[in-house]
Amino acid sequence: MTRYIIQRLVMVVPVLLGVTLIAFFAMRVLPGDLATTQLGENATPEAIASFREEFRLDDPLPVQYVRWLGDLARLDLGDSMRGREQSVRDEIVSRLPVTFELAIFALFFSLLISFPAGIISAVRQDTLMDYAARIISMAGLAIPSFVIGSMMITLPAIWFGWIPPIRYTPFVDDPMKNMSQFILPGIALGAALAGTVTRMIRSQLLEVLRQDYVRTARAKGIAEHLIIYRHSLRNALIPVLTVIGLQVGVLLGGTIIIESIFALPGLGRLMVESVNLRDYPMVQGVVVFLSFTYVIVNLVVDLSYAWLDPRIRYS
Amino acid sequence: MARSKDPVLLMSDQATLSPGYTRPVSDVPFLRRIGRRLVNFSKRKPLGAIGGFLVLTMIALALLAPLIATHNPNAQSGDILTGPTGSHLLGTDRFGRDVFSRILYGARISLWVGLVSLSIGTIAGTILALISGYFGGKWDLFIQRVMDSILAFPALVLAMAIVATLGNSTTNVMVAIGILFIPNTARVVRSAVLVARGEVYVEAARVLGCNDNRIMFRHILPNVTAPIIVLVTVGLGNAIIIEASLSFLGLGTPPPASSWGRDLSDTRAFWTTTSHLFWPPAIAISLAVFGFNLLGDALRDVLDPRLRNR
Amino acid sequence: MKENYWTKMETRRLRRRGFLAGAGAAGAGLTTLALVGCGGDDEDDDSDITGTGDGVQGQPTTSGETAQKGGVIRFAHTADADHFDPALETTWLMNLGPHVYSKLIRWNGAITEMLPDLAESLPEQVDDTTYTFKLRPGLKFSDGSPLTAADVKFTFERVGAEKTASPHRYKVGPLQGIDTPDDNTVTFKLTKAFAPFVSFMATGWMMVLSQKWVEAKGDKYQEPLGSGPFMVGQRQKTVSTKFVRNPNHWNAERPYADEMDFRVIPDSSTVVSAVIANELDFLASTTDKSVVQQILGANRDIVDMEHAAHHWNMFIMNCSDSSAFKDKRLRQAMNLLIDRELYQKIVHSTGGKPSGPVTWGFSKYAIPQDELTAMPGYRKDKTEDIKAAKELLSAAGFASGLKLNTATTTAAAHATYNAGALALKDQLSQYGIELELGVTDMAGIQAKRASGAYDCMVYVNGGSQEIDEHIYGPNYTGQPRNVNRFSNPDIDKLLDKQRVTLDEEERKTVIREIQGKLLEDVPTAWLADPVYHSLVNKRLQGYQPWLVFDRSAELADAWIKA
Repeated sequence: MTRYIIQRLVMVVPVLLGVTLIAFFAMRVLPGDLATTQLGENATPEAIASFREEFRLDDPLPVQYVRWLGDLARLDLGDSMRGREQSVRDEIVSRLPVTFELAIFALFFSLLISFPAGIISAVRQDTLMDYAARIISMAGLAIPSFVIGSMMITLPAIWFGWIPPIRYTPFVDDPMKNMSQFILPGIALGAALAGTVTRMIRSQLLEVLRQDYVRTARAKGIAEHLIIYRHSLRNALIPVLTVIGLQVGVLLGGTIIIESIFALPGLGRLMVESVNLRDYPMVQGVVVFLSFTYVIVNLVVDLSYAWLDPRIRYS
Repeated sequence: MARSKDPVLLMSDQATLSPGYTRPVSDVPFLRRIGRRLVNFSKRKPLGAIGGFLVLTMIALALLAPLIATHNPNAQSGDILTGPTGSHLLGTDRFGRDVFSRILYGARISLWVGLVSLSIGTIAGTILALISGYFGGKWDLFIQRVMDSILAFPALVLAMAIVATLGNSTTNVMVAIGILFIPNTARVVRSAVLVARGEVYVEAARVLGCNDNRIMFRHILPNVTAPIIVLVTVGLGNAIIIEASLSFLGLGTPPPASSWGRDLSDTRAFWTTTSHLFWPPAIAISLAVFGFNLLGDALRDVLDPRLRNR
Repeated sequence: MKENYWTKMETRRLRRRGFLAGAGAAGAGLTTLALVGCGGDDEDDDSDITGTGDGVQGQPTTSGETAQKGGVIRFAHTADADHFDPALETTWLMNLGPHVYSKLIRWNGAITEMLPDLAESLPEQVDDTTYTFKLRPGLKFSDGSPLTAADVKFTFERVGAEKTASPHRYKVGPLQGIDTPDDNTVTFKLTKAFAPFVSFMATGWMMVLSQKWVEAKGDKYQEPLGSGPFMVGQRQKTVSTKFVRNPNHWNAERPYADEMDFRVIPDSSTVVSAVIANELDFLASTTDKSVVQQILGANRDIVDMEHAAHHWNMFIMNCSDSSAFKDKRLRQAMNLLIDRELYQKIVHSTGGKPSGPVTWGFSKYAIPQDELTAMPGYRKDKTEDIKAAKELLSAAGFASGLKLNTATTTAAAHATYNAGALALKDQLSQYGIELELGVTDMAGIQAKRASGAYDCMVYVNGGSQEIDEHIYGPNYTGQPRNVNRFSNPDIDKLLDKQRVTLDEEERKTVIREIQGKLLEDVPTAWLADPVYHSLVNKRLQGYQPWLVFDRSAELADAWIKA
């Protein structure tokens, strides 16, 4: 077990290194740069040159890459190129709670739908209830999230002259007001996930229910609901944990569209804006941060999976 | 019966060619057999049948678009933003283009983008998974770490970067979406490869001196097709949604292509003025994605022995 | 100087229009203007929109009542300013800067006259190359510190300095030096006559900064210190900014509102919904009829104002050696073939008019419509034009048609680029001219523009209240704004001439001559420009739609009807 843990921990390094490579070079090959986007057409060649000099953008790429890696090693994510005194780290710190809260709400709503749906469709496989549960859980999958999100804002405005709260209040200022902004976006995002998680729960539960020990339990006459909840679910849920853990990681990077529509100042929006403006340090910093989070979450989930599953724990 | 050169198959052939042994020949015509299989499938998996029907409809519309469409989907006209009329069954958009024709051709685009990007993702992912799963060791470690790196990278940003760098063309959108599919495919197929690798027939093949390539592609690959089929089916649905999301960000299939995703993204908010532009792509996308998912689920149920209803 | 960023989704441009601000205007006040706010009629005949400076349609919302103080004005844009340093910004800061900074003088909303702001009157022109401003006595920044001639000198020396590399440098003209004979007097000395000088000083980016503040904070600082009607209260970057009344503003009568609430809402549909739901007080300058109809249909308390603007749609052709368009005949052929009316119909659902090298909205200098629509390329009957174009194409060697690398973008913010390119693509394909669209994001287009890696593109640009900005930069050899690398020494001479022609009428003649020559050489095919709609909630009175990118002071003159 310890060997496994150490192995997994060591694996994190090359993965993150790979991410930094992709992040750095993907940004640099993009055409255009911040000087032109910020200064526009009136940017004189001198203005652009002075801009590039300030940020040492004309050094050879490998040099810039290594320099950035060095900073990363010291946990220095650098400063945004868009203005003075805007450290990447501060931006991430201020935006992370928003994206994180959105992810939590999305996960919550997703599980709210997919748990019952997954259980019903597994236990009553191939019956009408199975079909109903699966169709409902897939509703969010089939419609792009920006459509659901748009509808949630535009329709109430037209019908009732009201829009859901889109002014961001930090949690510490007013928890209720803060959370009220996340409900609808959470539902929009959660609905998109529900289909996948339902499918996962269903297939895992199905697999477990086919096991011999379940057949034995049934033969013994144990009540069906006990079989499901006490004996099967727990075993089925272990791999589902993996998926849920992964979803958090995916969510952290997948909130872009919902954040834009609901005016949530999160990391997703920050990433997209920074890519569009070619603010290299910001994109690189946020991407590395998100990837790191994803890898850590993955790691924790894998380790807890290993711990929960006695077959692995005692190997 | 054709003589194959593969030693394992040769052996099994010989086993069944002992004197007196005749291979049973089915007495039911081929087509009727397929038909019966389909009917059984529909009865057992009605949702899957519905999904299959939707998918087939989409394919049919895509293939028949040039015949059914009333106009050239990109032809602009002076009739701007009209509602459904006799000549324009679903009305026109801001360029005076016929919505009905655009929806039909949009099926082509969605299907085409989906197929190509899925191909890229599936082929690359499968090859990587075969190498990774079969050879194991350093190959496995390296490939898996690269896959992890791509997986860890925020997907939409990766796609944006690819499209923005290569230029916004349908090909590049397909490449971007394809790359997004590689890691997950590799991961799923790799597990199947690991299982298949442990099978007896693989041992046998190796003992008989088959080289690795042959083993990988002739023996293992056929046995991991089940998860691949499911991945591709569901993946086609996902590809449509990803393309729509990219359109929202300004990076989907470029105009004037009549992609459902782009049309939807452009018209999503105009409920009181041009909602006739919104509904067709919205319904089309929903039905298509639903179809692929339902079909994929049913196929998974049927192909995965663990999930069969006993 | 406008950027093309914010020509996005045709929103969020506050355009000022039509009334003399209370500041400085004798007599004519809000109360004398009748309310003409058109309500919901989207079939307005746009030929009534006459452009700037002529008394434009869509009067500011007023009820004939007296302006009251108090209330909160709420508005939104899709992005925030990156910093508060106007010398080094050209885009989003214009939504915020004019509220917290003042200028020496400023253009009024209708672009009919310049009004004093920090200066007590328009500058005295001592001689051809010297201008003297007299500041009002007792000026202060919002923190109470005094605003003196030294600050003005600092501000404009900085803008004019080569070291600063400010994109606004050309606006201070051929600056020799700035003198401050006393604390309230500033004298600008130029090396030669510069006709646009005073007018440029009144344009949006010429905001006066505090020397102490900028020297302490450095370039591109995040917090502003200004002397405008408002000051920044609370600021949550990329979320919202609260503006509060500046107690030290030189004009105690302004602003009317106590506060302004600015929010960043990235999605334009959400902004539209917020306007419908009475969460925002106005939607500035949209050219999308669907938006107008949706808002007016859903909310009875919204007033629709139509107006013109200093923006122009153009079909840029790359005149450098790397493109087929170096051949003048090809460019002329394009100009003749393009059907402006059809372009307009598709791209501008709100209607509009064709434009020459100066957009029709800038009516003081634009070629009058009756003249323009008789010119080749603009004529209704295109038979002659098409014939001539075909001959030109043959002469240039393109009788069988050609393919052109067209740069465009599908970023939602720049819908016009895309729509324009598609409209033209369709139009031109019937003549065998294939516009091959190379789609990128906005930064990609900027890169193509800078490197010249394109044949043509549909482009939207804008200019301030000063005509020089509309014609000099885009057409003068070697200027950064001359994106299609056009060069015509004769036109250059004329452009230089209009810069030194101090007599207005004479200058107008030179500019007309320049336009004529431009229409011959056609570096760009100027297309058609739309009528804009600004949608204002009835609770906001005295709102003036914007005709240019400059947002100075108009919100200070608007008031909330309780």
